[in-house]
Amino acid sequence: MKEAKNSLWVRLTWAFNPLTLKDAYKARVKNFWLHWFPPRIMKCSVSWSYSFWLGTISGVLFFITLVTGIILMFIYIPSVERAYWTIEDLEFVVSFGWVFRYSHRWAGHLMVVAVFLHMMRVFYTGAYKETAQTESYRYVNWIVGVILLLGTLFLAFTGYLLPWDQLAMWAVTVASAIGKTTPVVGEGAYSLLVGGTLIDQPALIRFYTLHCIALPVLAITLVAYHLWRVRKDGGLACVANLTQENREELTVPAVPIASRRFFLVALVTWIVVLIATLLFRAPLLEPADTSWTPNPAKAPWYFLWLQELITFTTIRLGDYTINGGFVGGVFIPGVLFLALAVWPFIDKSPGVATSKWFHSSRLWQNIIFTIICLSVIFLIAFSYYCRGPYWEVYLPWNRPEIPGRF
Amino acid sequence: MLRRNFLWLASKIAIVFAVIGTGFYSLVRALVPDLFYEPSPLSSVGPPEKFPEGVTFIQDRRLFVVREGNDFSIISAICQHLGCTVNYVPLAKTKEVKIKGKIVKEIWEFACPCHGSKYYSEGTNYAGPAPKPLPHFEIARSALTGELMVNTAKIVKSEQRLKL
Amino acid sequence: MNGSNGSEEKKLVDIYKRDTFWIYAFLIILLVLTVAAFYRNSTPEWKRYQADYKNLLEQNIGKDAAAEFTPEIKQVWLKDININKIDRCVSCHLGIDVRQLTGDDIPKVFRMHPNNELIKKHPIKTFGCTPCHGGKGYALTKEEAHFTDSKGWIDVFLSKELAKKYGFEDYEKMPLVEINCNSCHVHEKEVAGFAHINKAKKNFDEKLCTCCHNFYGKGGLVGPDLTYEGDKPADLYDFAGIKTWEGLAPSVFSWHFLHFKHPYFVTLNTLMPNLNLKDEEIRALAMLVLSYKRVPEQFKVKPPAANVKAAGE
Repeated sequence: MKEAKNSLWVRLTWAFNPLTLKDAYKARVKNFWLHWFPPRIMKCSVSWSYSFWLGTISGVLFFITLVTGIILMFIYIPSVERAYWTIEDLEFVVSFGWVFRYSHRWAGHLMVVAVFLHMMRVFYTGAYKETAQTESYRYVNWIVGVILLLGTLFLAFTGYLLPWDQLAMWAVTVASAIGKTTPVVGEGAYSLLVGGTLIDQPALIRFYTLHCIALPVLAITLVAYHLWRVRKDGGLACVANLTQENREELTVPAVPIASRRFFLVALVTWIVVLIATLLFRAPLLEPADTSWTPNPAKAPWYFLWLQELITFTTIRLGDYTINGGFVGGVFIPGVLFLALAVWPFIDKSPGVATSKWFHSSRLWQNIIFTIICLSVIFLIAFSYYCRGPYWEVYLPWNRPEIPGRF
Repeated sequence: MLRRNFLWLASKIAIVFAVIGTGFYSLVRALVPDLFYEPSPLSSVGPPEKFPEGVTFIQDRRLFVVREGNDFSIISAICQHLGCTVNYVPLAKTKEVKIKGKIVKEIWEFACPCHGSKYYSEGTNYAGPAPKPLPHFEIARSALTGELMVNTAKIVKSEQRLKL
Repeated sequence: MNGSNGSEEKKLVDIYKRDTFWIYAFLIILLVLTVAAFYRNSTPEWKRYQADYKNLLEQNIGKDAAAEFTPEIKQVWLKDININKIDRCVSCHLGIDVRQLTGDDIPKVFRMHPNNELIKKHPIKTFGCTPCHGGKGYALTKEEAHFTDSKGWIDVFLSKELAKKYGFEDYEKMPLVEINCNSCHVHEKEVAGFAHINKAKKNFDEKLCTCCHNFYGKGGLVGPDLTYEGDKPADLYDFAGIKTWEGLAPSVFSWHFLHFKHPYFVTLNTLMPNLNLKDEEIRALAMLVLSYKRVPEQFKVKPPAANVKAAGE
């Protein structure tokens, strides 16, 4: 195969297939796609069981939504008259339209799950704290991460409205009314977002621009910073004490070990999305109609926990009713997210707790965090399966369906 | 040994290209329209009885149906300069002009309101910036419905007539 | 440090090798999935129907007719009704207006529309298919287009199977379509060809429904306004009574049927009297009520004075 060595194939791909250590280092410097990687990376960073590569999975899912989204933008029309029918055209007329639409939806929903799990992983390994190596600002990256989590939820939310079917319009009506109850800024923010008092054409074009341009640009900028910060802080926080002496032992050349595993993760993520695309249809109910609300009207699944919180915090005390919309929908989640964002400053566990899963010195924080996360998940599942017409509680298998016309 | 390596390499390359190729293909193919919200090139303009002697303008297809006795032809109404719709201009006085060596008596012509191109009734451009004559489209009678079918994808010679 | 390099590099190569193996394994899986996606995309139903139709044309009419036929998605764009109203039924129902394709030897899907007199008055180019038959006009698969599972979707396909389900004896003639007919012919007292609705309209006048119900601005206020009853979404009906009545499929149609037959079963403390009508007449009345839909006035038929339906006397 000596003749093959200088063939076009080898010249294009040598960087991804280095045969010697020297080549591995050269590849990272000379190839554009690989320049993000450091020369050597910690073995634990590359291990499956430390991070589960959740950050990469989130990033790949984001990339999938970007690519499929761009194709969808060529066909979708953000007008209240036409939007729904362009979605149906995607389903029936456009070649591979269904592939792009379903992939976009499943990648988006999986991304919400992936970023949530990623956040949980970083919390459990205490990776938002300093490690004893270089000067690091991991808490900044944690705050950027929380902002990205909110950004992901907001991206999913703005996208949810675009099909303009009954599911979309009422879910957004419910969720934006929740936001409106925030004191001081609520009314103004609602007015900016919705462009009026009702969800109609102005809301649609604002959500469309947010979903397709404003939020992706913001997200890409923050992700770029997020990754740069990781590099600057010395990589993943998985070795509490990395010194010059143990460096050689604990690290491996990033190219090709990390780069190859990265490609594998991207490949499997895409396969999972494609399987979901082939097996499950993205739902589309009847076209949006302001004259009737589907019974019950549920927020998108990642906001169902807010809807449940509101139900529980709307308590009638004689003549006075506590405004559950504010308490359950804005105040409690607001407090939770704020606590999440500033947790690095509250966490007083020792440095040795970073980089280990469930370190004993962080037992209580881990327990409380787990309870909160499980509650959120439980509330979502409960609301999804057990809430039926008129928001009554039913057993999932007993949930009645409103009969149809015939 | 060499052959096994070659096969292994070839199959690796094949798989990678297949995956990337189909991926890119689907991205591009999705954007090639499968359906035009426009009349299809081969479509009916109506039954021959509907057309009076002379020129009838079909607005939504942008063409003229010309009936001379029982001879039909279809000429495009799209100016060959920059695409405006030309007007049918019946002449007040018969004009005698020379087209392709023969003397013809013109009773109507076509004129474009945008930049002043002028065409004889059989399509030749004789004034203004138009670079080419107005094309004639193939006209046929449907075997199914008996209506006149125009095919805007087939251009025919200006002398051609459908004789009924 | 250097001594451990050899074994370390071997361990790295192991990780590297395993990952490479898995990459190729998953690439093959991806190839299989991609082929599946391509397959699903390239064999749409309508293409098969159109291929069959071309052969049919060649056999039954001739090579010219077959040559004239271009396989593509065909649609009727009803811009005058609504910019989005597109009927793609003609992508499969290709012979719907072809005179030569009548007869039992032609497959049903390609046959010309029966009842030629009716079609002459309602040409497909201006009416399309769904304003009369309902269903998802923009769909390109039989399952989606002939969609009857309503769950709130107002405009289901009014098929023979649905008519059979509700006990219509003449279900082969698709009687439920009269519901959509009457949404435009609502102001006429009698329309030739309505097997059920004419009798229902007579009953509506004879039983003096407008004593209690308002209809187009005239009538009583005891019962609900019936002017647009056909547009009322299923969510606004109380189905408690239906569920206990054996043999009735829970639906809005059944609700109206039971409401005419035994009003007290459906609404507690109702003032609606029992009309003592036969089941057949009750079905017709249910159809009549469901036909009261919002249709722009320009599409409603303006009958001559003698044939105007009494809008509440």
